[in-house]
Amino acid sequence: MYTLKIQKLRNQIDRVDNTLEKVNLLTQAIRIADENEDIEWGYDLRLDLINQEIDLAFSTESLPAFAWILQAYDDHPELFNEEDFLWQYKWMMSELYDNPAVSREQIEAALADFEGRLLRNGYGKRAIHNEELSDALAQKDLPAIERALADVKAIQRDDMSDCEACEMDAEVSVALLQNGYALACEKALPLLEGQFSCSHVPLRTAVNLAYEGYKNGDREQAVKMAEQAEKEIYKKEKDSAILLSAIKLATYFSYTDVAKAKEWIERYLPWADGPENRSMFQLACLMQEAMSNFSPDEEFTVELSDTHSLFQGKNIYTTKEIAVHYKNQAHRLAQRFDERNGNENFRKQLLQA
Amino acid sequence: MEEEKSYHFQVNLKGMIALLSEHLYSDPNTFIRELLQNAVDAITALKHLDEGHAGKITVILPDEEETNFIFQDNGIGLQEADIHQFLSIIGESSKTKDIQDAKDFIGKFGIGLLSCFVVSDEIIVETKSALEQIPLRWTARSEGDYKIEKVEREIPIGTRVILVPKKQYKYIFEAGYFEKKIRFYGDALRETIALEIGGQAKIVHQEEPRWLSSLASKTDLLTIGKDLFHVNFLDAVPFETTAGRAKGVLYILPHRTQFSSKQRHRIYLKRMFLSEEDQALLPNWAFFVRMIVNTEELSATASRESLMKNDLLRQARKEIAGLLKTYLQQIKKTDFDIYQRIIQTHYLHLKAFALEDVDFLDIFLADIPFETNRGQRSFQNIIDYQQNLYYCADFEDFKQIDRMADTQGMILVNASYTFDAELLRKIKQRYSNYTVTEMSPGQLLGTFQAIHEDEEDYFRTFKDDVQKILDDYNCNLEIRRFKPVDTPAIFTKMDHNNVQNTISQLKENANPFARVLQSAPKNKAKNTLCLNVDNGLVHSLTEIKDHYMLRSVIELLYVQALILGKYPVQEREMKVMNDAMKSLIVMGLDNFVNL
Repeated sequence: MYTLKIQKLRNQIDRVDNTLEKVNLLTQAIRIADENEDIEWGYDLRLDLINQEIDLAFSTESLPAFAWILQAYDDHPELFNEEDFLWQYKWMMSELYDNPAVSREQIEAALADFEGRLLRNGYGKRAIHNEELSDALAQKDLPAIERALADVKAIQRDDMSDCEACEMDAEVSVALLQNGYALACEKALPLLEGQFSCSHVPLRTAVNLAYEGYKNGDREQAVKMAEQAEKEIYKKEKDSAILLSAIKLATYFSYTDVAKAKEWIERYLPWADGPENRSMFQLACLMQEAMSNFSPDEEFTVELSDTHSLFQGKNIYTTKEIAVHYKNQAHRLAQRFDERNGNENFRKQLLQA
Repeated sequence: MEEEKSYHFQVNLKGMIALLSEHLYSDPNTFIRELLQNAVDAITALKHLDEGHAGKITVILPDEEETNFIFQDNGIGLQEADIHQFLSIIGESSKTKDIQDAKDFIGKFGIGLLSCFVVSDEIIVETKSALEQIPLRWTARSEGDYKIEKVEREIPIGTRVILVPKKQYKYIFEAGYFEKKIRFYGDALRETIALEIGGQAKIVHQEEPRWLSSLASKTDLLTIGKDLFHVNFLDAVPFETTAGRAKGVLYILPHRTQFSSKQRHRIYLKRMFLSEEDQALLPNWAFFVRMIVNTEELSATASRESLMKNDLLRQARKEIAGLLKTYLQQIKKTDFDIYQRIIQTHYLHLKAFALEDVDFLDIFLADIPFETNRGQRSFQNIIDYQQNLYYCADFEDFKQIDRMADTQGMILVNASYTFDAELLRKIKQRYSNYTVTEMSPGQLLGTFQAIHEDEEDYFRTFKDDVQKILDDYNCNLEIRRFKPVDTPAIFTKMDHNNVQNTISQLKENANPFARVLQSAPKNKAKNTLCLNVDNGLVHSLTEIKDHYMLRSVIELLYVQALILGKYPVQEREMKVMNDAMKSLIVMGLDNFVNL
């Protein structure tokens, strides 16, 4: 009888096009599976849940769901295929890096576990190095970036490596950090022409080049990139995973068109309702920067939920209020990440900003 | 090999044409739209020279005597240079040369005519330019070659396209089928369209569509809506936007729709039919609306099957959302009956709307309907009844406590539906004069009346004994006063979200992720079994001195409370119940023997 209920919920999930609602329905289905101790349904539904949550700006359910999946597989290897969740393992590694409460030792332990599973399924370590590279990029740690990039390139691509679009986009980011704006533009060409694309690229590339184009005095390229980024964002209007790109583009607009920047901030800031993680740090830095281009008393109308970190029981906030909030958040997070990582990379980013 | 010589790439034109003509367009009927579009653009160009020119399109369908299909317009016609440049270079279009001019024309990519190759291996264009006055014939074959020659006989100014229908597409050129299709694409055009077959002419389109007329009454619009969509709509709302110059009618559906179901619309660009999809012109909450609209200034994509998603389109959508909002606000005052019907039918979509727009929430708030343990009730009705709105965001929670809430005289909202919980949180946040409280089994328990101090003393030893039994079931004991008195015990599960539930199933150090989660601060909450002090059975329990008997009865009450609360009863609980009953029977028999 309960399987019928799960099937009905699954049918309902297929019919809705709102990811949050899909996640909500999936958690209901998981509860039914768990109450009936149905491990196979629990496994399938949790994988679905992780695949859905990746489309949201922040995930809350995926990490426990993934730990449960690993346990289910390790307890019943005869029931499941380990390859089912290796791709999701990459996402979950990012979740660990994202969370400042997770220690370096815990990350290393997960990386070792991931490596073991990759190798015994016939994959190489490139996926591991992809994760190390993206962590080094988030820390803007040049020596670590160069090391990780060399490690990535030393191992052949396989089905568990980041997609080509993401890898090329990472190289664009590396070039930008190495003060190679012109090289970055060149490396970005195949992505901007649509030769390689995925759910994040070329949006992320175009946004970065609009922002860096402005900073590097290449206004013409910046405008072109902003136009392309805007088009990409329109394609994914309902997908909250675009949040960071949208806020970065709004930051670019804060230099070139403040009215537009304001409209974008009012539209997307309510989506920034999630845990304190690496994305939130980047968002906080960008918001602080964007606010510096508005007058302190400028008022922003933002409909925030009461769980939003900025929420103060109203829907109009001044530039000053927003700037102070995100400055504090950025500093707090930089402190936490640096403590976790045993360096000063996040605080250095604040100083550079 | 010659040094220093550069070479041109060779293009397989036949392959290119096949690719473009067969893959760019999703429907073999597309050529009708493309021919109409070219004809309308040619007539528009002539109108720039002669404002009073009456545009006409004549289509001669093949019959037994005439095997060709002829599509002719009385537009500006083409000069020889135009033919070389615009008909014969893929990607060139006369309409993009001047940006201002291009605004007047429908097409702009110079590839529309290629769609004719889907239905014909040869395209002949006979044309006489109003400027050059030389009659010309352009003949192109799908192999990729074309020729131009002078036409010896006299032809009128304008253009005629001649096709030789492929066998497999002959059905498209049959009168009934073709008339339906050309009306489908061209029923909003300013130009007259005539069909000729076997020498008989028939005007198939002549009049300005009534839905574009400002004089059309609501009854007229509803009739048009019914003819178009075969639906008796609740209402018709004419509208116009500044952005994109869109004009049309929004029809309110008389039946509930699924959020994911796509409504069919009629979207026209410069009077030419474009698409049946909404093209992001409607706000995403407007599932309850069907639309017929013509836009004069939005742009189409290359395939001309959809609108470009740009700022202007976004602006137009914003205006339409505003218009729809104003309509819903006004209809409450002007026609309460329709307002009620709209609410009853489309409350789910209106809730989504209210969530996005606080002004609308202000107006709509009192009438928002919710499902409760006492049937559907409006927000105002609930607030009038009990001042406080209680809701469960989780359906399982609602199922478990709706009966209990009912017996406490409480109206409880089932807010597990899409938007409900979010909307109630927003109401709580926005209106400080209303109390909105999320309810869970644990919280409901908190509303039960505590026992008096003297009763506390009376039950102290009993509580200690029972708690020891319940410790085996990870359960806290509460003794309270609640209704109905014939319910001896209520079980409530700890307030547990999905994340906590999953974490609680992880074994110690099962994997690196489990270790991360287990190192985070834990929630030590327990389930609760609440005994009803007013229940006779509970009173009798205090008289039991035999520990084994007390355990058996408490275990039975525990499983009974699980069943009552609609919690799943697993093998373990069945065993507990069976063992308890068996113990009671054995103890009963012993007493009988010892009598």
